[in-house]
Amino acid sequence: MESQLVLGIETSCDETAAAVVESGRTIRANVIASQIDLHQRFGGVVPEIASRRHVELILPVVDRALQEAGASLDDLFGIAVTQGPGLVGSLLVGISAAKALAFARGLPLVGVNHLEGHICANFLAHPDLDTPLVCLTVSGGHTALVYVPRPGEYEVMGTTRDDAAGEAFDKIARVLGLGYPGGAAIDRLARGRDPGAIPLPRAMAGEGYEFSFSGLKTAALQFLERARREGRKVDIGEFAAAFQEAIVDVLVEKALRAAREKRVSRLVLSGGVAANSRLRERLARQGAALGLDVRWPPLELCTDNGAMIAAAGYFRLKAGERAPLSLNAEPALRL
Amino acid sequence: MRVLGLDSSTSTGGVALLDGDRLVAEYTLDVRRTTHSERLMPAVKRVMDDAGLDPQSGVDGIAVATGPGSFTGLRIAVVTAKSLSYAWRTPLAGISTLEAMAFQAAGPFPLVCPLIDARYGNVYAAAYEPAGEELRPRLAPGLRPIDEVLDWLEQATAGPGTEGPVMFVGDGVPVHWDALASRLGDRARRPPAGFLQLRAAAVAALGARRLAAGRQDDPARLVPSYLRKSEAERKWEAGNRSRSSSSP
Ligand SMILES: [Zn+2]
Repeated sequence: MESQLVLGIETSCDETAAAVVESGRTIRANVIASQIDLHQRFGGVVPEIASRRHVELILPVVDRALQEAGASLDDLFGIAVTQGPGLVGSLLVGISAAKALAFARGLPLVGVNHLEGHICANFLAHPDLDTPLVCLTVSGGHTALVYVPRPGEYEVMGTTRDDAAGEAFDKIARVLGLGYPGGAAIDRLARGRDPGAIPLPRAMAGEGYEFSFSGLKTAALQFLERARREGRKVDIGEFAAAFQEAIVDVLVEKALRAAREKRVSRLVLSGGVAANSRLRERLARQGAALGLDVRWPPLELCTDNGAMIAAAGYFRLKAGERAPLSLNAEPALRL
Repeated sequence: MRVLGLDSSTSTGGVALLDGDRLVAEYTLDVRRTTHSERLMPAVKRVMDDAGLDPQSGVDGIAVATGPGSFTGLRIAVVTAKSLSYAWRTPLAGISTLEAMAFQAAGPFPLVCPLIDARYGNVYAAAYEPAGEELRPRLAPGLRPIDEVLDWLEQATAGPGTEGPVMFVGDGVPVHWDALASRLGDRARRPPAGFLQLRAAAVAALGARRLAAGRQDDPARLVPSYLRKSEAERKWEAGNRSRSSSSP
């Protein structure tokens, strides 16, 4: 039988990742080298530093993925690589490696949209997951609502006009001195606290599917600044709960409305912010009340990984799609 | 021994195939309307195809210019070379871009000085003294203001017994030619058109020599030699220095 193994390579931001996936559904190996420590002292991802680290990690990560899968390059059906969106310098490392490997072993190559990868993480995590569905992808780099009538077909209903949801979490966490990345720390501090004690705005709730978080960020910063000027002490837990709720409220409201409008019975979550416990709890509870099947992938498939790229690439390779050797990074690639 | 040479250090990019002493194919392109990412692998394929080589059988060795140069450009050729070496299981040699430039321009001159334009009056520069088959380093590769390089050259070539012409090479030469000529007069020399920018054949030739001497690089570990930290690191370190020096 023809091989169904696809090598997926992902270097769009600060994770160097490679995975081997069988038939677009079964993970044979999933290797992720995170660079979080490198960027921590800068309070965010520094593109040049990320690109340099990718060069050091790319071959060891690919080699380990193949070894863990017990496969050689010649056992592959093809190679899939993230083409965009993302940091151009980072993307180019994965793309250059993928093109050279594919050429040298005569393998088919496809470029994959990173967001498509995040959506496909759900097909990996839930082999029984069917379409049509609506997917809410939230991370440090993106916030998007996508309607998926069938695998490989995507209709973007809305994205963010400014900051991604995860970016807003990181910025506020940095101001609070919680370190980088800050989403998990805010989630932890907010647990069990009253989210309504501090009033913060909900931008664009109730209208359309676009998101905007910069107004919320400014309002939160102004609140902290005013308290500092007036010598008032801010309860960090209460503040974290209020800030988190302002983001979660908007995400949940739009996601549920999107599922209703598209008349789907399935709503899936993906991206790093899918790990947020308040977002999961609210979506599961309110989604169930509307009769929706709400799911998300396990944490290692929520954050950036090569398996989701391999899964998305498998469907494209199967459909006969091939990328040329001139394949280039598309930092602002759209679905 | 068939050695494939790759370079995308500056706006020039190239691929060459050397078979022993014979240059089988060479492709050099310096256009700014496409990127190295779009043109490097198609150039590799073209050179292999035209030479009648099976892409899956590969070559006997790979040489790549590791910099200095444009950070993004360096990564494209280095990652491409690493990955070809890994997939073909072919020995790999990383070659200094400055050394390859000096190798290309070396002749009957006491000094060869490769210059890569780094903007704002700066160059990546080195100086080598050709000695038989070898290039003896005289000025270590580094990022410097062009005036500093000229000061050094004036000193190094003005004394009795050391005076003589300096051969300049690289894309920094046309940018700074007026300064070079005014400081060194007719001791400043430059190669004819077509030999000013790095040619991949020089990278392949130096690589072949290095591989024949049994020296190779681990494809998993080879990285560009940027010769410069990222801006974020420089700012961070500067900030830390000023903080620690202002504290009592
Ligand atoms: Zn992502």
